[in-house]
Amino acid sequence: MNTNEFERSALDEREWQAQERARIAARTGDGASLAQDPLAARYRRVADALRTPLPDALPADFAARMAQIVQAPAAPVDAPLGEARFESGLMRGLIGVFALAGAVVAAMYGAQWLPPILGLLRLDSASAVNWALALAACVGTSWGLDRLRHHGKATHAA
Amino acid sequence: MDGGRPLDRELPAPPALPDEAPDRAIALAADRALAEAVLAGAPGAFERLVKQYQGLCFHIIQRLVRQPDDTRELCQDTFLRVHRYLHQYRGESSLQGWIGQVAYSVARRHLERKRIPLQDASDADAHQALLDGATDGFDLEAAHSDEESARCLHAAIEMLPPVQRMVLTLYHLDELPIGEIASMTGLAEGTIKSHLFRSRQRLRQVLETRMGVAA
Repeated sequence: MNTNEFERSALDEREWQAQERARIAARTGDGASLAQDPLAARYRRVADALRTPLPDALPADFAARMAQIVQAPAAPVDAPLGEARFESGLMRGLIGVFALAGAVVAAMYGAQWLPPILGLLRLDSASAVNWALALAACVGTSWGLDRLRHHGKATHAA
Repeated sequence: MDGGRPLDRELPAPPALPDEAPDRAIALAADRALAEAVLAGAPGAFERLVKQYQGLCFHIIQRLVRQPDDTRELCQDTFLRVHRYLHQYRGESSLQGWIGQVAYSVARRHLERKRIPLQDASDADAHQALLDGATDGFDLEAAHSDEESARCLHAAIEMLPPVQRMVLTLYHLDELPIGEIASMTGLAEGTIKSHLFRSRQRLRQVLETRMGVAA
């Protein structure tokens, strides 16, 4: 180690100790201890600024909300409980309306659609086999992608 | 990930208290008890855990991310992960360190997705220029008042790279030991000390330069 390196290391350590004394003085609120310590005194304002609480904070009910979320994982994370109930009711209402409309249309036009559809679904028809294969491919692809997604999540867990 | 240079020589750590070991054993036992209560679904246990560590989580994420909306969302994500993976906590290290690690990893991934570097000043000159920029337009006359110097320092802190900002806050405000910060972030203790030393030195230089005091 040459002289310059030695001097730089010694200076670093002396300054580190001064920074630490300023930090401790800021924590204890003891200003008098730095009266005879000019280097540490120069760090006192820095140490005070670094102990200042951050201006923003999490909402006061953050912990209670988190507890509520983990107890009801099905509810949307950001939606208040009342909003989640409203959305769920709306969804059930819409499904009911669609089911009713489907039943009315089937009653009115079902007689025209039913014979050709039943013809397609006969097991000896080539179209029925093709549709069955397409359906199996769709289900298989969805299942495979879902497995891949879960595997990825497990790998990237905290 | 880390562009900080460790100091040329290991700087001494602050002295440890003599009765630190029994205190640590008690703290670890309390951590394990809290984790077990949460895993057993004890009423109020998870809320207690969140209350205990939400301040730390907020400091880590806010200092790295700086956007209040993103911070709130990422804090929520952190505690959801903590709840989901708490069974992996072995109780060998502090729960605070384990949760801090999750918060740091969540915030770091967020910054990576947004292509924001954790260390955005590659050398000392660039870093110095960054800090100088923090106090442009600073009123020299008024700098001698405590309020103005505090404002100048806070502006300079905000201009520091994310990791330096976070390390300073965890060490000064949360009073975490250097070893704990190192285990949370995966950075070497020497690198943490280097970040602390150089950041504090530059903050002092910024303040003194603006106040017209020889550094």
